[in-house]
Amino acid sequence: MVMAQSVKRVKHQKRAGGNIRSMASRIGSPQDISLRVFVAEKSRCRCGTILRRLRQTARGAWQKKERPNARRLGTTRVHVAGRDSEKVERKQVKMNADDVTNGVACTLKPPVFLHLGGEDAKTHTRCSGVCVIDVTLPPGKTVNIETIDFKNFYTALVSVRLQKRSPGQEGAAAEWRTALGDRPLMSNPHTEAGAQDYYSIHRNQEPDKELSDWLLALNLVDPDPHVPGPVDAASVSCSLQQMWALTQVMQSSQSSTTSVGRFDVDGCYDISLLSLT
Amino acid sequence: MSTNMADREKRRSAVPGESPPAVVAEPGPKASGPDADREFLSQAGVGELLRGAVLKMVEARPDDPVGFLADHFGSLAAAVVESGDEALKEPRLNDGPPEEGGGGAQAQQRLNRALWHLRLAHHSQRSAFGNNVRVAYDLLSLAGTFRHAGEGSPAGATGGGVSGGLYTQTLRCLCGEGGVPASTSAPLLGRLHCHDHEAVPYGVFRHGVLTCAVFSDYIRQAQRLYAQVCRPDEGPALRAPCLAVLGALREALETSRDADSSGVQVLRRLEASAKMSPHQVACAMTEAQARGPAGHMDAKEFENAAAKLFIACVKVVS
Repeated sequence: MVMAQSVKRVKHQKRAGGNIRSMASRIGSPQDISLRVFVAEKSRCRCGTILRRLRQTARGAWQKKERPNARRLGTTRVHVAGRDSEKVERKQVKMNADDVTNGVACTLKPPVFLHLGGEDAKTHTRCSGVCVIDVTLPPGKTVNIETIDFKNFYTALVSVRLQKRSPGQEGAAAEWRTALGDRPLMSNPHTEAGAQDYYSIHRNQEPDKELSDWLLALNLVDPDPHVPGPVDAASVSCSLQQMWALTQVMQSSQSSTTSVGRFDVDGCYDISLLSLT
Repeated sequence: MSTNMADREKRRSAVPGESPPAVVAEPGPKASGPDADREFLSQAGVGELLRGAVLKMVEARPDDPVGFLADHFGSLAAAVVESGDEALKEPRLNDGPPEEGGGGAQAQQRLNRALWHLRLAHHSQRSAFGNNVRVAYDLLSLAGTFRHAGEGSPAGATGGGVSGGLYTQTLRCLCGEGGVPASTSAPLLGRLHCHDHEAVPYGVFRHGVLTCAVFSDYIRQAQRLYAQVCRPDEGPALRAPCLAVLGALREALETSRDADSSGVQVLRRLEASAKMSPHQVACAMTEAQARGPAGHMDAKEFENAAAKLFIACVKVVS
């Protein structure tokens, strides 16, 4: 599943009560989806505030629509609303009892700030400036995510990674794929531009399709097959790469070589000889 | 080390009546005192000599330092003697055909010295290797004077370049010294060689020398690779995994072959290295094991196949 690549600025909306238009969904085969939102800030660390805003707005809008396990883990439910695959128009915040058309509630975990430094309490750990917000979509549904909408609060970059878990694979076998890498939200993290804007990340055509396709394809890796016998694939690969590198050394010197001029005949290609005047 | 040697030189020269053996010194009474010593040493250019020797030593890092220094000073001495001879010989060039025997031996000597220089640094040491190639080129291009006897000008000594035959011989010796059997390197030489009547410019010479040095490393690596694919107790390796491994290398080479802009080149190189990742290699080998051809492949065949892949990337000199 490929997520959006372009970030569009949404027109400013009323903060109070909040309208969080969010993701569309489509029912498919049962799968767990986790969404991890990486929020990187360069100037001020206000990741928690984004969440608070989300909570506030969500609470305001969907007070009535409390699900039985809404208070699980002390997190907020952000409703995922959006487009039904058959109907073109987008349904806004209104919630239906029917999840098929409107959405799947997702669970936002509290933001985790990543720190650099040792685990030892004595060593001074530095704030890395990166905050991770995990978003879990409930089990039993496939979500084909169309948009993610949110309001920024002094965050410079955001990247979104996706982890698919099929019922068969458990635990570490599920891989993370980067759907949106380091998309800037603020043109200059030290100024106000874009600091408190609403953003919408859409599924869209990627500008650098070839590279990103290839990078995504890299991630879809099956576990290593077992090579029979004492052959070590890693060392074989290492030797192959050294041999390839040697060839590249030779080729790079080749490009700048002058020629011996074996087939040159002096004076034959004088331009003045070609004209018959 | 240079200070030690300089001290030893000073001590030797301080003994009255004795002159240092390597340097031609003026006969006569020596003035005593450190100033006179220093003056003498700077006059003789000993500092430069020793500095050059030490620098070469550091670049080459030989196993036998004394032998290396002996070779180094020997080649310097031979160069001095030869340049003296050249000055004497030049007027005689137009008289007739040069003495073949003498010329041949001298050319051989030059070739040996050039090869000695080329052996000093590994091709991965870019600047040292480049310097050595330049020195070898200058040495060998001096040997080209005899070719131009017919044209009546000694200009070959300065601008003509290295004679094609000498260049080809240099390459052949380099491959041989690198441990590559003649049959394996023959196709490579076929692409790189120059005819005797052609004058090889520096760029072509450098490329040829670098290619041969890289090729010997490549063949050694291929031999190591064969040993890795081989199961130690079962003799020659199975054909299928060998073909799989060579196939992976061929694909990688083809992927990174023609890239025009640097951006595309980076992408192609990434793709090529992905084709050789441990995962890909493991997949290829298991697949080959399952449905590949039966039989064995011996070391020679594997080496030839690997050499073929390399040689296919070498452009013919023209």
